[in-house]
Amino acid sequence: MSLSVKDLSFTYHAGTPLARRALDSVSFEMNSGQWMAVVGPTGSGKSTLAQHLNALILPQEGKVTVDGMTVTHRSPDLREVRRRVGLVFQYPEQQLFAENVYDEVAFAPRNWGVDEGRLEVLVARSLAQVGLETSLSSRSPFSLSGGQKRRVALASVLAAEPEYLVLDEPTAGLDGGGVRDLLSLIAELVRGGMGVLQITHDLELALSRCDAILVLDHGRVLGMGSPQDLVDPLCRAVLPGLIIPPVLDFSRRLRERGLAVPLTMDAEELGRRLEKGGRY
Amino acid sequence: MTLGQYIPVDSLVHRLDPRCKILGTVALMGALFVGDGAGAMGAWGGLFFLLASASKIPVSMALRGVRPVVILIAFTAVINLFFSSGEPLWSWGILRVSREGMVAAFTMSFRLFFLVLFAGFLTLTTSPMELADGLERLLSILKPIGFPAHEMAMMMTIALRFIPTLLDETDRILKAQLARGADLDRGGIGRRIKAFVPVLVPLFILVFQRAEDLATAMEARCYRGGDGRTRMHPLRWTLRDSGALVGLCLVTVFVCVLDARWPLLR
Repeated sequence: MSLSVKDLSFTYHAGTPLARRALDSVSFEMNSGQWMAVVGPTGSGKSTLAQHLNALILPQEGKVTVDGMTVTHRSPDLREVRRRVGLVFQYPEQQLFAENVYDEVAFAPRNWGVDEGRLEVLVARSLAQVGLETSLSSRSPFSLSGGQKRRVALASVLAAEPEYLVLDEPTAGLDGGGVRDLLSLIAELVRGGMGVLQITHDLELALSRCDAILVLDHGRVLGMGSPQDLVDPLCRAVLPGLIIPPVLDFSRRLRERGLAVPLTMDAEELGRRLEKGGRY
Repeated sequence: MTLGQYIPVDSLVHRLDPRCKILGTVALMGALFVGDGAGAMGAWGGLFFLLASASKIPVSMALRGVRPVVILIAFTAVINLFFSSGEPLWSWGILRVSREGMVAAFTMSFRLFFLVLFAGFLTLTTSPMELADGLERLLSILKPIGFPAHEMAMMMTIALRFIPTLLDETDRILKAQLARGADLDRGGIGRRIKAFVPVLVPLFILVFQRAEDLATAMEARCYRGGDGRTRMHPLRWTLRDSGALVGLCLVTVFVCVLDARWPLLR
């Protein structure tokens, strides 16, 4: 069970003066139970890639395959691809529309033809997953706080029981507690076998929590691998918009000066190693 | 959709003063009501290709701007074709087709087509800021009689500026719902309209939010209307603008005179 992208290229407004190459021969594969981060500066093609995975944008060149189903214009499996790959947009709370939270969360499973009896179970479970009380079901989603709206939007995607989850900058605009809760939820989903692809600017999050990282810049893959493989090249690459975690940057600079310290984001670990005598 | 969209390329038409382009568009639109025979329509078509080439705007892109009004054009043609007075060539119930009706259907639909096409050229080659500056300067001659030139220009700029933004927002909402399995392009017309209601609700909310944000942002930057306002890029009318405007006017007058003298289809 995997989601694979092969030589994917995409140009917005192709054949017009506004033509802009968003993706250029992007290839990677993500398996079930894997947590992958896609990092890159603004305009590097991350969101375009995310929309290809959910078949909202169809490939102009290259191939996107979800559990063996190829996404093309003529594919009869487009709806099934959209069911299997749940996509949470950036600022998803801006796309809420239903009269109440229940209808909002039930929107996707209803579209997939789930019967009303099972629907109630799915809605209750999805709300619980994102840490919302079922008592909110009858409230208008527009009357909720920003954080609650975000959770409702996430629950509305989880209710469709996707096999893969694509999150477009899910932590943007959340406070510290909100980020922690969201990351715990993602970790739990990944443990349950879901493949999660998370688009983020947060290098610290990508390096500390994810199994694999895909680095995009100007629509091209700059690097792909485990956090251990990428930590050093990422620190050296100057990618505008990506902030190297300060402790990691500090440890890298110490190493460059000959100190025997590990490349780490953990300030305490770095302190301990320095106490033990990082030497020139 | 290209209506209200600006294509920033370096071309002769783009470099013209916005006032020249506005006056030229008005002249062309006026001429469309005078020269409306088949020969004139052919000439307007030729002028369209000439303008497309001079402005480096692809013909397909300019034509795309007419797409939203295709139904209106077709409706105009049908109404004129079947309900115009004149000697009937064919009739069925209340429907009558006359020679006059056929001519009216032809002229009215082509007139509407070129009106939208030429108006689209103005926004494709003039940025909203330039357009507002140009309009304000042109309308300022009415200021002595209390005409709110600056306010009118600002309202028009905002309206034009927000057409592509609203289209983008609609696209985003549509995608968010398609991603959750919404079926927006299947079924009968009734089902499709019903499916679009959930798209309109967040769109209206976003529109009001954006309007409020914009008003707040303008107030925060001490916006107080046009009095005493200076410009970063003051408009400058050059010989090139005079030449372009006079040239265009001569062409339109020439076409109208020819059309009046030797009408091809009337």
